Amino acid sequence: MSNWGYIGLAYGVTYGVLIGYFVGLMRKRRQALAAIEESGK
Amino acid sequence: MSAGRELARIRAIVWKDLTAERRTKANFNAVVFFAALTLLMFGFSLDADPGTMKKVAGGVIWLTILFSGVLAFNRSYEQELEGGALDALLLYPGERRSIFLGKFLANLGFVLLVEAIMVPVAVLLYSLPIGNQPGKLLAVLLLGTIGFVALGTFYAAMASRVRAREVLLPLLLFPMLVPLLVGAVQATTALMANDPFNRSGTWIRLLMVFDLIFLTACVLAFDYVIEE
Amino acid sequence: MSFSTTRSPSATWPKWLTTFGWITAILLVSGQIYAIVTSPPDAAMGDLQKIMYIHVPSAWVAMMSFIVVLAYCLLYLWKHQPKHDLMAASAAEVGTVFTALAIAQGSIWGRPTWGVWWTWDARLTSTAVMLLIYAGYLTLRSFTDDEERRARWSAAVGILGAINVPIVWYSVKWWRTIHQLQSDMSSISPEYRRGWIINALTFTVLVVYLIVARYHVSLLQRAGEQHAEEQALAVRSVHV
Repeated sequence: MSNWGYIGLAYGVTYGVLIGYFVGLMRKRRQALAAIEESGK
Repeated sequence: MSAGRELARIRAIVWKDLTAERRTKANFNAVVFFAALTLLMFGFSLDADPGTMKKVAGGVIWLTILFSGVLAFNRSYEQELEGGALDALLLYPGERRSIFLGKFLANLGFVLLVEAIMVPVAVLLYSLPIGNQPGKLLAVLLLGTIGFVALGTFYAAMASRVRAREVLLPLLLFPMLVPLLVGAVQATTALMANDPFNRSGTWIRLLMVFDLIFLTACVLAFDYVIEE
Repeated sequence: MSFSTTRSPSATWPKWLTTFGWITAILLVSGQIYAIVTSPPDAAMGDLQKIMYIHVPSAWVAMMSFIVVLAYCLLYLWKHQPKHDLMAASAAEVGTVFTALAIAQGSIWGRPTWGVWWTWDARLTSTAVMLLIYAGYLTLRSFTDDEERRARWSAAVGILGAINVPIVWYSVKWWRTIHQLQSDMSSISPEYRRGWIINALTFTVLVVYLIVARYHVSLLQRAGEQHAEEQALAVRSVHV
């Protein structure tokens, strides 16, 4: 693999994980807000 | 609380833990057996010639100590959990740290006794040299064990109370032991080879600092970890 | 004093946090593009040097997170406020993510440089130990159901872990100097420094955002659980 391949891998993994973590976090947020809505009724 | 009364309390706890152990001498025998077994397994899996074995012996010995010692720590809380004796102990006036020190000393005695059998077995099994400073070698064994047992006793107070305790204890404990493992193995290996570059001193100092820091930290933090 | 009798904190998502999030993303991307585009290839490692613009900031930010963990663990033991425990846990989670990233990036950089995916390089190894220490912290939390006990135990474990970080660092460093190893990434010329600093700053902003966001999610989760609990109790008492 060329150097740029490794650079791409590093950036890809990094942003993949960061975006994945962020998306997971936002999903937890939605679930928590929904749960509050539910119990508030 | 007066020092005299606290010492008496500690002594009482040590005695209680050790005699409970003696009543189940089977447990001690089982741990020693496991240690010997581990040494053998290392022999099979490493399949090393005597020369290589001398280089890795330090690591083999200390890993065996860690794997067998870890079996002892959860048990020292299990007995009280079953009997409800811990609650009674906690009702006693006086500081929780004497509970920690008592358990620490009892566990220390237990593990040192296991080592007293296991290390000579390792020496025989792998034809290991003791080196020309056996006193220092004993010091390394003692210092390494002290740090190991201090942290082990501490983390077991938590691990023993949750599910999957057999895996949680090593999971929490072993990463914390890395400096101790590195230091003990380096010092042991160097001393067994007569320490040609005089390295053991640095590692022994590391072990002493590690022990001091974590013994203190565990005593202080134990209050937050032991339960009502 | 039990956890659940304290009034549950606000159960909304702060609006400023969303704005902050957007700002963070913009800063992050611009910082990265600027550094990548304006940096010439290094004499020794060529374009691989560009990995430094995620690796160095990630490692720096991971370290910062663990200092935050230590601070909030101490704060919790002092004030016993649940929110401090939640902040510590959020920082630990985010810190663990960046530590894992730093290790992965270091490994990926190492492969074309040294030919192997892993070397027992002092920094890489110490970082791996740190990862395990904080993963242990998070694992303990996931196994402890009682809120108050979880907070107390986490604080103790977090503080002990933090104390060990410098000790691990030094002992591993001494260990590796016995087996002389290859040069590491610190042998880089200063002309790249501006890129590093800019990205270290943008990553800092990112990590602050992520920790605060994680913290607010924890608050929401906790509020939801408390509402559900109160409801269950209310229903039961009506039917008496």
